[in-house]
Amino acid sequence: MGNADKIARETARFLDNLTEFITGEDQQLDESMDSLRAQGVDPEESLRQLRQTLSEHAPTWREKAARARALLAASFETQKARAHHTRSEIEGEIRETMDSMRALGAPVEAGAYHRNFEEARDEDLESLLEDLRFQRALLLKQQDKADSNG
Amino acid sequence: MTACRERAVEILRGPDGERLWLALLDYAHKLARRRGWRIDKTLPQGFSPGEIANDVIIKVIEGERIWDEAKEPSILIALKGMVRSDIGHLFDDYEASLIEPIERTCPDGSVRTGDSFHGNHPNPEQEFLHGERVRLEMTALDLIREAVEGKSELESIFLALYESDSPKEIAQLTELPIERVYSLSRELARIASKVTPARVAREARERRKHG
Repeated sequence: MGNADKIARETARFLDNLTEFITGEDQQLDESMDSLRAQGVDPEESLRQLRQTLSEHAPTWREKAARARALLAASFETQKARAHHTRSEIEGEIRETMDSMRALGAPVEAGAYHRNFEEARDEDLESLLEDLRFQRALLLKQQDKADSNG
Repeated sequence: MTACRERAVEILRGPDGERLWLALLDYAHKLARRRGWRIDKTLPQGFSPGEIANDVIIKVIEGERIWDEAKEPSILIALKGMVRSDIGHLFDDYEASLIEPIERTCPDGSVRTGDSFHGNHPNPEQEFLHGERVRLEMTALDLIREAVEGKSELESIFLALYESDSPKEIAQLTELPIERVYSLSRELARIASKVTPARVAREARERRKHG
């Protein structure tokens, strides 16, 4: 090993030792905070990250229960929203969709749909609305294609 | 190994958890800087020191990496070792990756084959990068030496750091009380915090300009 290599190794060892020495085990919370701030790191944000990491990857029973409760509440809200989506609102949306399809030149037999409105169940109306939305999306796509081909 | 995971989580959630986490994070940043990382840039492969530290915590609490308290009672030392290993791999991969076919015709007309490689000789790019790193490290060391010059206790700590990184061993080598060694380590940390990679690079450039 040449002298230059020896000096390089000693330098690297010194810097490694220095890094370990100045980040000793006894480093106090405020010291780490000051040091992190000096390096441009927000310690409060870092502590939030630790809490989040622990909560996501090693949740306590309280956190698990809170998460299950939140999921249940969200699911309940969705159900409630669906239940509150009134029949007349769905019918209104069906009409709007059909109008916009007609404007695109599609021959929509409104009468046929209207006749069935009164007999159809809520689920059937929602399904019809989904179907119409899909057809309208197809129409728009076809029209875009036709426009781009001149 | 579930016990190891649970114990790690218990400590990290306990009264000392936040101190340990911030100490680990500080270590990750200092170590990355020691390897030449600049604050406003990401580590090789797009990682940040904080992500490396966080990733290590996740792996330990999910059991992907094991902290065995019987072998290493200090969780901080164990976590630091993992961070050191991960950051080391990132920089080593970054500095030494060069892909080219083994068999090719060299500029002098000779044909290189697998037999042309003896042992693990570095290629010219690796040699260049190594030379650059050594130059920066020696500049950093000089800046620290200049900062401690004339302060006898810090000078003795400086010399002892060629031998050891352990405060206890450094106390023995310097014959200073251990409490004083700890207090000097804080002073040295303040000095080292001013020796930023940007300053080292600037100083190295100046030195090169002026021979």
